[in-house]
Amino acid sequence: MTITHDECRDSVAGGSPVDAVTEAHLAGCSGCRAFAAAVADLDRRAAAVAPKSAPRGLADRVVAALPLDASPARPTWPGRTRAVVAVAAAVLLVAGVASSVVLRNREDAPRTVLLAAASHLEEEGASEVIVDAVTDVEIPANGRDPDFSVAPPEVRDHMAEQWNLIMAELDRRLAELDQRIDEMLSRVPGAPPPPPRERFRPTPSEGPAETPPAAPEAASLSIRIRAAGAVDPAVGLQLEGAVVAVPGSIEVRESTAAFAIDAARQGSAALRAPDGTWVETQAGPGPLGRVLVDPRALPSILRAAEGAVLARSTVLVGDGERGRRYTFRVPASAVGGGTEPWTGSAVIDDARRVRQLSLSPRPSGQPAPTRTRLTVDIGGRAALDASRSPAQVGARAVSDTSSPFAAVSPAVRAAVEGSTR
Amino acid sequence: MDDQLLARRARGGDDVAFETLVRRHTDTVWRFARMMAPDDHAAEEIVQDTFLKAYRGLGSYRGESAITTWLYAICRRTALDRGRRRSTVVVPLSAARATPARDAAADDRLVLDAAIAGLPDDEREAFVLSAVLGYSQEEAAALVGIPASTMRSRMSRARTRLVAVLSTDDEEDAR
Repeated sequence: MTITHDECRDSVAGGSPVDAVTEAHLAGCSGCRAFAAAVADLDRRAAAVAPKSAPRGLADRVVAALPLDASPARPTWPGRTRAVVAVAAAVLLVAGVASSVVLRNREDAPRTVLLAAASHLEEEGASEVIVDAVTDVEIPANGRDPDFSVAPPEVRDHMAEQWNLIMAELDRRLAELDQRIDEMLSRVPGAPPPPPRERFRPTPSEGPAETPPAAPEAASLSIRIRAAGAVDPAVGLQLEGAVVAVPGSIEVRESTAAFAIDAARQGSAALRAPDGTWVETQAGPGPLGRVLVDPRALPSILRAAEGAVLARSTVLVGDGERGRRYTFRVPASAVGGGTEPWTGSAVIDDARRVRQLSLSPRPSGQPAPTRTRLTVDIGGRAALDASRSPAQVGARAVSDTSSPFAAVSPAVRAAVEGSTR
Repeated sequence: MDDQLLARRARGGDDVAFETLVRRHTDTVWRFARMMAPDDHAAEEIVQDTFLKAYRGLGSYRGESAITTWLYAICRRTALDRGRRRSTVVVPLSAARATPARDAAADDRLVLDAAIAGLPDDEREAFVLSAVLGYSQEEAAALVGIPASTMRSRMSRARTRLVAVLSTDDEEDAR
């Protein structure tokens, strides 16, 4: 019994055990043997490209983004139980009895716990507060600055400042890329001098200044620039860019730029107390959108908690101590951000100390936007040599016009566009 | 505590149990998502969406399959949906014809990644599960929910296509 080349290769590529018939064919067919060797080599290379562990902190980010109170399977608090326990706990407080009982199980009244924690904090007055002010901001395509008016007022200036810092850094990095491109172009015989560079963000009145170069005649060049960026509130802006050039008659160079911009800067925020006065805030280090606020604001926030306060989970708060995480709502008047209530989360230990408090302008249950994506993709293949195949003359520039980065790399665009005329 | 018990507890409202499942399986979901996504950022979003959908779908999980199978199925749908929604045109790396690089290993990875990315969805999935992530063809078939014979056919087509693409690249590089 014999098999065809196709049957043999299908058997090999399909991963079936090599039977006697296939083995016999392979022994007598160098083409199929070469194919089998190529498959084996492919598998070896494939195993080597398997991704390793997940990025550090991914599980934490996944957990943080879960709307833990939005599950349909989540038990809700019966209003009656809540009311009864609240009254009972309030009596305990009035009597001056430390209500550790309140913290023992999920049937307790979280709002009362928050109030107790607030009182406790007034005495001890120290805890960390994180305001999670992540906001979706649209990035206009015309090179103008984003409109930060949608951001909570407490962090609006902070975000705008971060944006400017990021753009300045981006300018610097893109200038480096331009320089590398110019170096490559300079090696192309007959290539035009690089056009004058424009700034990353041209002023709207000026518009991009482009001087199409004369089409070179004696080289083949393929350039691709691809960059993908993300504004991640946890780490700031990350941008990876790659420049790949495949010239036909010049030295081959490849350059990959990968960098992260640390957006952790000094932050500031303000919280408005229920009496309308603004609590002075504390500036401190923190990544974009996360700022430390004055611990003195804590009692005001916790007292302002309203609505369905829910004991969500038991958590470890360090050194084996256990605490409870609560979610609640805070009226906008307490935090000065918009008209909708803010969502809060507090971790309170058995000694009624607030170990962590976070506030967000997002409605409860709405997933936190984890990043604003920025994409730049300018690709082109320029066949500058008439002797090359016609297929290579179909150069085109691909750019994501939804991004202000479309204005990047005039040298590449000029080279590509020049070749298509 | 095993996955099934954790899932039952999570379904009953125990958030700590679900967090434990997330932390236990993030690496597994990540490895598959990363191979199906164009970059780390997209893969991370797929992982986040996967666990978000899993959390919301806890009520529908009856424990008839392993948690990993269930998570994989969600991740797979998420990755495929995301791929269909992509609107940015990306020039295949192979179009740039990879050149001798300073880091040969990294270059090899780039070339192979681009070639894998160019496969049709079903073949890419088969190849990633079996050749990259190391599942047996029977396991991969069970994860995808197809007969083993279909998985074998997809693997055969994927390998054949990749061998052809990569050998073409090698020949062009040699010129």
